[in-house]
Amino acid sequence: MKTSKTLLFLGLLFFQSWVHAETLCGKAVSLVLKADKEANVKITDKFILKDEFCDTGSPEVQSNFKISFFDETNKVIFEKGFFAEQFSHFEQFDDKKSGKPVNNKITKEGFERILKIPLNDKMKTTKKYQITSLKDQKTFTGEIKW
Amino acid sequence: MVKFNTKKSLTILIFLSLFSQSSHALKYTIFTDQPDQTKAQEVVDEMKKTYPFTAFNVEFEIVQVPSDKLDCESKNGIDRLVACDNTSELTRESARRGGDQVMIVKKMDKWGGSAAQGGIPVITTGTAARAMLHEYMHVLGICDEYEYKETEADFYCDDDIKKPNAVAIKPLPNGYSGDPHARSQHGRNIPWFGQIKTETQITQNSGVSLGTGSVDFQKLSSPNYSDQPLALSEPTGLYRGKMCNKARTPIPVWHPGGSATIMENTSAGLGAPLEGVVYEILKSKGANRKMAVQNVEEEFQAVELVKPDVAVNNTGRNIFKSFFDWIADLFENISKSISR
Repeated sequence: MKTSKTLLFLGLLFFQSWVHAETLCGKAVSLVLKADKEANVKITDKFILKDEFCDTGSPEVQSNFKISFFDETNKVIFEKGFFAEQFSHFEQFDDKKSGKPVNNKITKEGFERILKIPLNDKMKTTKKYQITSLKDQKTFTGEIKW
Repeated sequence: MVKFNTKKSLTILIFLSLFSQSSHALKYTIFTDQPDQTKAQEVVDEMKKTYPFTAFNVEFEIVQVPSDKLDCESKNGIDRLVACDNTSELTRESARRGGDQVMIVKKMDKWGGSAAQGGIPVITTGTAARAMLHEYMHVLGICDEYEYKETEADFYCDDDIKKPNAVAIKPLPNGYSGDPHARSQHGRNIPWFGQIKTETQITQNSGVSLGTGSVDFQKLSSPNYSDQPLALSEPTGLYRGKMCNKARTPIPVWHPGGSATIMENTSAGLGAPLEGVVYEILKSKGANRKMAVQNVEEEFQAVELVKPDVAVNNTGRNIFKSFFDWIADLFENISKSISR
């Protein structure tokens, strides 16, 4: 009975550390991603926050881009699929209370969005990032410093 | 004297830590130049009570800024169409504050102006708060369902439209030999195909014509101010819309629900199919679900959306990458059992 309890205890300990190793956790980093009209996307800013943040690794629904981080040996340390809407919609409604659009204008002007990623020790070894458009495989590569 | 069982306590602590993860509430930063912030607060109140936002931990921060910091005005040659030029600075500020999404409420008495501008939803103080929801849906990749005028239809509409709430499908010119024929022809192109029950026809006229029916735009989906998904008023299917009817070459566009949604009229709700879509989108953004009792039907969760063609290198992750999602589902199921 004591042996089985000990084994259970050790098993949970191992399980817990294994689970946390599989899900990436670290300080939350807010990346500001900006794209021009041609959907060339780059990181224009980043903020390391106080909060802890875990990433389960799943891409966002409808991902049309992915961002990859590489260490100095060009090994991918972290990758995340994300979605960004490339059309801008300008709309006019018929009165202040109800909301039936009566006029609109659609343009393609580029976009900006915030993407949160975890910064752990492995991520801190990354030197380079690449953002790939999943539609046409166009890429943008830039340096990153933590 | 109370005995302290170290091993038991440690076991419990480790067990609890298995279920703990950094909580990530989705945070919306609303920048406004309206002095009393009433419209921004209306937006907060509206979103906080609307499903599926009620199912997640969401936070809002209203940030008062001077008008020149928003730099919004009527643009694009049409009065009431508002556009803002200082979005980069606002995005940086939101990111610095830990925000996930910027929103703008511009003090402007001209009514009815709103935008989803480059990933940022904007409304004016003269616009209904629900318009912010409509614009935010655009940011999430949801498209309009009202009829575009010719110029916008020509610009936006093409045969490749494939959104969580809309798909362009040209019916076969000679019709179909039955519902299975239509399903085999088009099923893989319909993002919500997995939600269409086998007993729901996607054809009419004895399986010859495509479509479960047409969207009844006179029937508005009800706004859902609960923490449960809306019951389906009609089955999820393939309903003919009108968005691209005025394109030079009209393109048939189809929607999952048969009622008007917020994407056609901001007075309407999201509608059951769109609620399920948005639920999955928010979940995929890492938003933590509330551990309250939810009767989330599996059909709303298993949304077969446009799958990303991305080979993600989940370094060090394999079967446990959705471990915490599994745990959340486990708690939901336990809660459901208790509530029954």
